[in-house]
Amino acid sequence: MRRIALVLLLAAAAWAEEASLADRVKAVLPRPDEERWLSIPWRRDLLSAREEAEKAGKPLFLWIMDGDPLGCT
Amino acid sequence: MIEALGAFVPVAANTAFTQWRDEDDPLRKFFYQVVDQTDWKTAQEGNTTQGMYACASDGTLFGHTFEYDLETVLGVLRDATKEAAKHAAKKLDLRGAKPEPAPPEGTLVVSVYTRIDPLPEGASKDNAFVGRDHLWILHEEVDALRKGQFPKTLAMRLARFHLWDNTRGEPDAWTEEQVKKAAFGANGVLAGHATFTIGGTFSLAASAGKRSEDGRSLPEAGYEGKIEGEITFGKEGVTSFTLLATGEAWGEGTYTPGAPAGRFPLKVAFVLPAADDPTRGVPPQGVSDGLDEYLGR
Repeated sequence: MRRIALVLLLAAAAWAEEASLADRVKAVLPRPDEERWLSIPWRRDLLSAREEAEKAGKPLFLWIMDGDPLGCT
Repeated sequence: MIEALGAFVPVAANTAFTQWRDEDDPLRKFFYQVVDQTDWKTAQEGNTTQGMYACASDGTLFGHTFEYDLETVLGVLRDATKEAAKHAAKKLDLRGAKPEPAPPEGTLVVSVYTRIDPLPEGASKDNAFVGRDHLWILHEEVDALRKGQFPKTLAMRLARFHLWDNTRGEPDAWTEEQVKKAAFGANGVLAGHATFTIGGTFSLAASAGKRSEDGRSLPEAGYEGKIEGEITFGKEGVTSFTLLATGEAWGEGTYTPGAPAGRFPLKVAFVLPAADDPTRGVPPQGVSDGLDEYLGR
């Protein structure tokens, strides 16, 4: 009986620890207001985007950064 | 802005794979054809073509800006839309352009987010952004984790290229000598070892004396703390990956001025990207220094 209680106690502690890590990770992840710019359908590859623009008869809009704009601040 | 961009094919790209391509690469020649119609060499400090450009598919420039305020960008888009309507773009052939670095087959792509949290009192608002990156874990390294091992190549990649402050811009990668400690391990949790915990401690430190972008001599910098997390395997492979680095950082890098004074709390979170995440194909920042350097080959 004591052994069962001990196992249950350890399982509960492990579960609490897991929830805590998940919450701490979530606090670092981007909030929805920090992701609004991703609603723009950015192409990542300039070569294929240029070909797409040529076929569609559309101009290009280039956002160029030192570091990838989609992988940076 | 989203509405205005509907008339364009919007592209987000890294100067590492546009401006800094090989000289004979057709895509580099196209890119310079566009940017050389502007005053980029004198308009901003440093040898960078960072900016926003509206152009035809044949490289004819319609407008550009090196300022990122909304009204300026909307003005560029409005003017460019009018100019584009009057322009008949010539067809181009850019065969021979080198593709961007891609991960080796079987690589696990992990999304990486960095925050200074909590933000110290008095720290500038430049420190309130979330840093974004990706980590590549090679197929053989995933296999090693499944056996309860933490490969040294992965430990060094994590330490050198991901345990850094990228919240204000491109950080300096740690050299191997600056990795004072990267003691990481993996242990099976459940019978059958479907889930492994990952943990350990790290210490990274750079001496004072490096030059910043604007010529300042930088003070010492570092980051030390611990990592904790877990990886779960299913029949199809990795089904879950969660890792969190917490600790104290100090100093700033060549291109990341304005760090909080003294030591500050820095957190780095690693999670699997959603299947439809449009950014999952972005190479890790560290690949800009060379793919082999990043992978530790």
